[in-house]
Amino acid sequence: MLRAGGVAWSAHRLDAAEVAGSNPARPTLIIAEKNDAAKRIAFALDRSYKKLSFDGIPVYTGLWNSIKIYVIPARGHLYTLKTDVGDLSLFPVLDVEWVPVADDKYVTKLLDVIKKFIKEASEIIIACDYDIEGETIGYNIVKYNGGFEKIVKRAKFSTLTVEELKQSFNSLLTREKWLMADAGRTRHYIDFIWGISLSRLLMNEVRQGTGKRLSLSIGRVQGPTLIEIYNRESEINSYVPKPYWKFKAIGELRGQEFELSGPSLKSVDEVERAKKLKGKYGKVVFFDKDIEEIKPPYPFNLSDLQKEAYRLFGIQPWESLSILEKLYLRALISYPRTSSQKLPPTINYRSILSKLGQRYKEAGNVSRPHPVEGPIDDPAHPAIYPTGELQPLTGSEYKLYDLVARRFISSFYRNVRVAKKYMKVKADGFDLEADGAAVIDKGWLEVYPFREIREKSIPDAAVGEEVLIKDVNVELTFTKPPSRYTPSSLLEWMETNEIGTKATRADIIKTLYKRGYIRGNRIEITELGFSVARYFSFSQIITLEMTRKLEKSLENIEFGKTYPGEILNESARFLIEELKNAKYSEEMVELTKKYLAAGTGQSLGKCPVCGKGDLVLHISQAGKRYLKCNVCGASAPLPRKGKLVSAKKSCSYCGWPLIKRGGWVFCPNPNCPSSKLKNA
Amino acid sequence: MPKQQAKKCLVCGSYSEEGLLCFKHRTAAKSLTEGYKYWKEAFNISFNEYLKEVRKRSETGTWVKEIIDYVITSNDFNILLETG
Repeated sequence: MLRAGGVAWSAHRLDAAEVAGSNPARPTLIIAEKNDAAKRIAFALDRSYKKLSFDGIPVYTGLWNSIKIYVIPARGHLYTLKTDVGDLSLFPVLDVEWVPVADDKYVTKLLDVIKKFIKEASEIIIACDYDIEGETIGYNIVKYNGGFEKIVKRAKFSTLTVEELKQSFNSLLTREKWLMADAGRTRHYIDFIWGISLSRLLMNEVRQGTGKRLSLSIGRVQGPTLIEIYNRESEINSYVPKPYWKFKAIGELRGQEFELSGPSLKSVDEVERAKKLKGKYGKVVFFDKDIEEIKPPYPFNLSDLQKEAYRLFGIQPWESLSILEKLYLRALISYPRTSSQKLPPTINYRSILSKLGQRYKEAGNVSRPHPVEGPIDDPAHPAIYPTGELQPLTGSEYKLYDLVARRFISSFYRNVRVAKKYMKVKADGFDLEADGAAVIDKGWLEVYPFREIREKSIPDAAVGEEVLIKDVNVELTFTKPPSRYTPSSLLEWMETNEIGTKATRADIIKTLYKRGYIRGNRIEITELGFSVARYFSFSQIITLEMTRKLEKSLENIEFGKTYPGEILNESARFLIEELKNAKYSEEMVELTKKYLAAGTGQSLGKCPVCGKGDLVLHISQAGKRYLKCNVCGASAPLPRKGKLVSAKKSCSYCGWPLIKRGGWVFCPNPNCPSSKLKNA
Repeated sequence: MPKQQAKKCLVCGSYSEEGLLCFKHRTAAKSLTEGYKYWKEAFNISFNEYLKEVRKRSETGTWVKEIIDYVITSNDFNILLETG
């Protein structure tokens, strides 16, 4: 039986009836996305709200406009896609349905509670995050628990401040069509059928060629991202540097020495000619000076903020998203999953600036009535901005909050003003140039000091004036291969190529790491990643164009320009066709064998049983890893995933060699007394 | 259908889809032959000297270094014509 804070469910129903007795209206159910959001919503609607607990499920209750409300937090997606086609050799898989997240007792209890509250309620309000994922979460909960027999409304808000939440619940949206949910559900469906079908194709290929059952996977967006990393890796590994000479000179004019840059020199002959300029005179052929006005940077959208956090603090994109979500749930910043670079006046600029003034004195020195904005808009949410609420913060939370607050203030600041000069000098057939820059007003750099303007002094000049070349410096240099991607630059590549969404890109990169396809902060592709990417780039199943086209179609669903059925059919047809054309790649199998060889066959230490043999890493047909002595056959199971290396120590209980996986050191011996001690 | 005899890359022994070099070393061979003109222009050096100089550079790609090692050891310059 369900219990509310020690009170049985039936007793709770009596309580609801009591409320109904004093007010004929039946209660309103509000579905929030997370617990913190639920608590804030309850507080905003009724400051004296109460927390109930049904079998460990928190439910917040209070009165709003004299109607009893119950706010129940979901825990992200409570429904997921599943197929009954269990045979791994069968693909494409198109037979898919939404089911509750399996093997999660909490979700089962939560759905049980929600179902009962939905039955009781006269009205349901979906108050999950106002975006595709949030709406999909709320829509699925309502749909699969009979909620659409009731009145269902949508709350739209970008911050969890009391003021905005109240405003949002006083102007709830009614929906004829749930377009965001349609777009979200279609995206999940397409990602699922592509992911499962391509992964099965891949695993079958490897199994046919190697006889091994490897757990491999690839997704619709991961595919082109991995192929891009593979292309970069190929460019780096096949790179031949080109020699050239950097050419600098010191000029003197009107008593001032300054630096001149020459063109890149391509041969020893040119170098000799350039060196002879020393002591000669060149002529000024062009001179100009101007004041450059540099506008403040645009307000942050998610990807701009992720890139800046990585550039300044080395915070990975997925870490920054997680921190930003925490700041949002504490009502310190607006909703972070946004593409917008615009801040509408409805957020009340003055009020926020005035509150921020308690911590940032610069907030009192702004000069623009409206912020400088970028070109990108997002119909769901404005750019990320601080709400003005202040709380003590430390570490990365402080760094990111500070960045958001300073960027917001700076968008109202005056321009940076830089005095610029440019001079062109002709000397013995060489074109030399000099640039000068001096900051005359720091402007927004006073509050957002994360940009550098290099100051350099050069004299004024007039065309025809002579410049003495006092010194010449040539330096042999070699061109460099393209840089490896970092998580941040890869995110930028995904954004530029319009694949994935602002909310999913960072997670897609993280998944590539988790699957062992890439490694390092300066991203390198692993042997396994290389073979998978090589296979898909060869078979042409996943292409950037196809992925981009699907993204566009999914976006069109959200804006009512197309129907989910149309896109699902098109996508399924395309998948079936492409899978028919997939070719068996012997090269990929060979590469995978090499990968397997790298992982398996290595000795992880001496066998303590016979004292003679080595404990060698093996992989079973079923893909399970185990250690086996190559002399006496003693064996031990190993974790299925993760790179395993010798910890170069022996277990103090049983003498077996200790194994290291990441930061975890363990004894592989299944009969080790240490594991019995742990279990005792 | 019986499988064809697997072709092996002369440089690394990996499977090669076509010719005597695998994908990696075929790509590297192409870059290497294309790069010579810049070094010839800069230093007026022979192809052999070029290979030695490129091998020394840290900017040079791993696959390029591998094929240079093969060419120098085997004296098989013709392999560089295997650029697909």
